Amino acid sequence: QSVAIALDSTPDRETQGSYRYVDTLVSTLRDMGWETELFPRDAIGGEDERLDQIRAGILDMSMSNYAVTYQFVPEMRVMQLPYTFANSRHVFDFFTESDYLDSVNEQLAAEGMHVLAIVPTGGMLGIFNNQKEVRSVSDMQGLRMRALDANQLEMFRMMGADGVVIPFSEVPNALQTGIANGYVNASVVPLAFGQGDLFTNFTDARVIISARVALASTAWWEALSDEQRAQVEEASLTALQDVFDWVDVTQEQSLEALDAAGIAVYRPTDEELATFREATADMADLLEGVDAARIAELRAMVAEHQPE
Amino acid sequence: MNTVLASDSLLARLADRVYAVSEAVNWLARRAAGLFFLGMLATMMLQVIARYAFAAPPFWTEELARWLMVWGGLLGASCAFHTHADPAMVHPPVGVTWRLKLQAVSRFIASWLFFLPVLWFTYPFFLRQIGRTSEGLEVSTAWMAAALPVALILILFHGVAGLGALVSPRVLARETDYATQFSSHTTE
Amino acid sequence: MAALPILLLSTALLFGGAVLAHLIGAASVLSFFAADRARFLAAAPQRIIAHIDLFSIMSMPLFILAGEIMNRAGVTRALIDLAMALMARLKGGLGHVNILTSVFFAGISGSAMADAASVSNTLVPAMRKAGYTSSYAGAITAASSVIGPIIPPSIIMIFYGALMNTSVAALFIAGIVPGLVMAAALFGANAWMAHRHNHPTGERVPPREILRRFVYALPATVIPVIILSGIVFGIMTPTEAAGVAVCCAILAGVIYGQMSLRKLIESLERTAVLSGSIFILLSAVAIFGYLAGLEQIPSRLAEQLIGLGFDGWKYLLLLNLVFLVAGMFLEVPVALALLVPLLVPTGIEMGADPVHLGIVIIVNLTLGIVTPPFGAALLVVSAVSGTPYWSIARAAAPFLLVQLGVLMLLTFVPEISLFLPRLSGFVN
Ligand code: NA
Ligand code: NA
Repeated sequence: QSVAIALDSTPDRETQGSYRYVDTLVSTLRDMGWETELFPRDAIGGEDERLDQIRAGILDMSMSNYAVTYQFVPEMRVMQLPYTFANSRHVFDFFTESDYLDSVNEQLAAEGMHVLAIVPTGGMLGIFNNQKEVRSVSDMQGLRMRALDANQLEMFRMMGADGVVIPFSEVPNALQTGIANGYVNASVVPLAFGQGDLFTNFTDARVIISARVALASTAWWEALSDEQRAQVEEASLTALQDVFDWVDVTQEQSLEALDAAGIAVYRPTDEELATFREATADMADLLEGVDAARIAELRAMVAEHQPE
Repeated sequence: MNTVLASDSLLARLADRVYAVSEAVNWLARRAAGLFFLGMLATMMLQVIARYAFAAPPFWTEELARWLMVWGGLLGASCAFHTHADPAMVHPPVGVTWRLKLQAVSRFIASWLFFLPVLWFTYPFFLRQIGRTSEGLEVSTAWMAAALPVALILILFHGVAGLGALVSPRVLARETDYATQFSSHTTE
Repeated sequence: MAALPILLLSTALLFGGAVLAHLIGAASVLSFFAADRARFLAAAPQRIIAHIDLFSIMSMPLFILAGEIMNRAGVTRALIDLAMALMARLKGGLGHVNILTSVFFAGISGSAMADAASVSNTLVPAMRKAGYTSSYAGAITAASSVIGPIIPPSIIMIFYGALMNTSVAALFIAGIVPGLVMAAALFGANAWMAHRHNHPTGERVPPREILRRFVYALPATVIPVIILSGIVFGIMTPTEAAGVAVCCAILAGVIYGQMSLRKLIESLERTAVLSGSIFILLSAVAIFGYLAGLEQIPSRLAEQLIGLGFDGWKYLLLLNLVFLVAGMFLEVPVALALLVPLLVPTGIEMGADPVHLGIVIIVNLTLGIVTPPFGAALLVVSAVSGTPYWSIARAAAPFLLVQLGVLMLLTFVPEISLFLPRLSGFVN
C-alpha cells in the first residue's frame, strides 16, 4: 500500500512540529511495508490547492491549515476559543481519547476529507509585544495587536487592546512602523521566522492552541482495508505522541531562547491567567452557526479530559 | 458585391453569423471587464483610505478587490484571445491567405487542447467550491470560481468562431485586422 | 515515449501562429496524458485560480492601468521638458535628456515599451533636428528604455514575485540602485560618444524656466516619490501603492487638462485585455508547474547541473546565458513563465537570494528588447521613428555592450541590489 503526503513546512524535525509528525508517521509506515512519497512544501501548490487535491482524491494526505476544518464543520471553532484547553497535554488527551474527531469525520466525509490528527506546531499561543510587560489582562490596554481575522480582532477588544487585521507577509513591516505592537503566536515562531528583534516582551498566556491538521483524502482512506486503516491510525498516534513530547521539551527551551534573544519572558500566575480567561469568556457568544447549547456541551466534553 | 453574396456558400454565411456572435460577446466581455477593474480600483482605494485615515481596514476589502480582479482579468483574457492580444511567436504576413488560415487552425487547436480538459475538470471543482465559505466576505467561493468556466467557454467559442476564416473572406479580413492592430508591448 | 509527437505538434502550432500561453498549456496537458497522470488534471482549475487570485498580483493590473492613463494624460511631454532643462546644455545633451527622461519615466511606469514608444515620437525627431543621426537617436531611446522595468514600479517584478512567492516590495526596493547604475553607465557611454562624434550641445535654459518646468512636471514627478517612499517605509503595500498611483495619474491628467471619461474607460478596458493575456500565461504556468512539481523536476535538474559542475558562480553565469538568449527570442512574460519555475529554485538551493536572482533575471530579459533579431524596443522605435531596424540595432550595439557590463556587475555583486532592501528590513 502507498501514501503520498504534501508537506507544509521545511523538513526539519527539530523546529517544525508538523514535519516531525509526518517524518515519524512515514518511517513507521515504511517499517510496516508501506510505500511513501513526500512532496516538499509548495511543490504541488499552496494551502487551497492542496485542500482541493485532497477533496478531488488525487492527493492522499496533506498537512493543512486548521481553518479548513471549520469551513465545513463550524463547531470546530469552539476548540480554538481562548482558554478552551489548559495546556498542550490537554489538547492531546482530548483529541486522542475522546471520539470527537470521529463525529467530525462523519460530517467531513461528504466533503471528501478525513482528519487523522490535530498536530501542534509548538506550545500554546502566547502574547508578543514591543511596548511593555504584560502580566494580566489589564496590561493589554493601549496595545495595538495584529489580528489574523475578525475573530482575533474581537478577542483583542475583549482583552481591552486594539486590533488591526494584517496579512502575514506584512507583519514585520507593520511591527516596525508601529501599525501594530504585537500578536499572539507560539513561542517558537518569531525566532524561527527571523522576527526576534521586533519584540521586547513575551507573556506565556497560553491563550489558544497552535494546530495544523493532518488531512487525508476520503477516496484514499476508504480504499484502504480495515487492517491498513488500523496501521495508519497506529502510526499517526505514535507520531502525534512524539510531537507532543517534543512540544513539552521545546516549550521550555524556546522560552530560554527568547530570553537569550533579548525578549523578556513573563510567566503569569494562575490568578493572572484567570483574568485573561474571564475577559475572553464571551467569545463563545460570537460564534456564528453554532448554538449556545452545543458550545456548552463541547466545552464540557473538553473539560472532562483536563489533566490532573 | 452581389456576385460575392451569390457565391457565398451556406457555410460561409454560417461562419459570418457565428463570428458576429463572437464579436458581440467580446464587446460585452470587454465592457464588463473594464467595469470589474473599475470596481477593483475603487475597493482598493476604500481599503487605503480606511487603513490610513481611520486605522480600521474592513477585512473584506482585500478579498472583494481580488475577486473583482479575477473576474475582470479572466473576462479580459477572453478578449485578449479574440483580439489577438496574446503573445505569439509567429505572426503570419498580411496578404498570405494560407498562412492566415493556418493561424486560425493553430489558434483553434492549441486553445482547445489546453482549455477543454481544464473545463472538463472545472465542473467538479465548481461543486467543491459551493460548500466553501470565504474568509473575508463570508460567502461561497463559488462566486469567484465561476469566472473560470465563463472565461473558458468564451475562449473555446472564440476559437471556433475564428475557424470561420477558412470559409468566409469577411471573417478572414476581420481576424487579419485584429492581428495587425494590437500591440501588447506595454507589459514588458 | 510520447514526447516526440507532442514536440512535433507543438512546433507545428508554434509556426502556425498559435498563442504561446496556449501552447505551453496544451503541451503540458498532453504530457499529463502521456505520463499517465491525466487524473491529476483534476487539480488544474484550483491551480489556475490559485495563480491568479493573489493580493500581490493585483498590483500588476493597477500599475498597467496607471501607465495606460499616464500615456493618455500628457505626462511624457512634461517629463521631457524637465529633463531638457536639466541636461540639454551638456555636450551630447539631448542624449542625456533621453536617458534622464527614461529614469523619470521608469519611476512612474512599469514598462519599457511604453517608454520607448512615447519617447521615440517626440525626442527622436528633436535629436535628428539637432544634428544627431537618426540611428543614434533611435539606439539611445531603445537602450535607455531598459531602465523602465528595473526601477520600480515594474510589471515584470510583480510577475516574478508571483511566480517565486517573493516579496514584491523587496524586489521593488532592490531595483532602485541597479536602475540608477544602469542609467549612470548609459550617461557615461553617451558622454564618450558625444566627444568621439562631436555631438551638439543643447540650449542653456534660464533658472526661472527650469523652475517653471519643474513645477509643471510636479504632478508627474511626485508620483514615484509617493510610490517609493510608501513602499520603502512600509506605509503601503505595492498593491496599495499601485492604487494610489492610478489616482495620481488621473489627477495629473486632470491638471494637464487631458483627462476624460472616455480615456478612463479606454484605459480600463485595455488594462483588462493586457492583464487577461498575462492571466492566461499564469494559467499555463499553473499546469506546467504542477507537472514539474509532481515529477520533482527542479530538484532533479539541480542535481544534474551540480553533477555537471554548474554550482556557485558558474550557475549564475549559466542563468545569465539562458535568460539572455530567452529574452532575445521570447516575450518577457513568456520567458519568465517558462524558465523561472524550473531554474530559480535551483539557484536558491545553491544559496542565492531570490530577490537578487530576480533583479539579475529581470535585467537579462529586458536586455532582450534591445537585442536582434526580435528586440521589441528596437522594433517599436524603428516603427515610430521611421528609421531602418538594423541601423538602429547596429548603433545600439555599443550601449548593449555597456549594459552587459552592468549586468555582470549586478550578477556578481549582489549587495548592489540587496543593501537597500536589507537596510529597510525587507531582506534578512
Ligand atoms: Na518602472
Ligand atoms: Na529614453
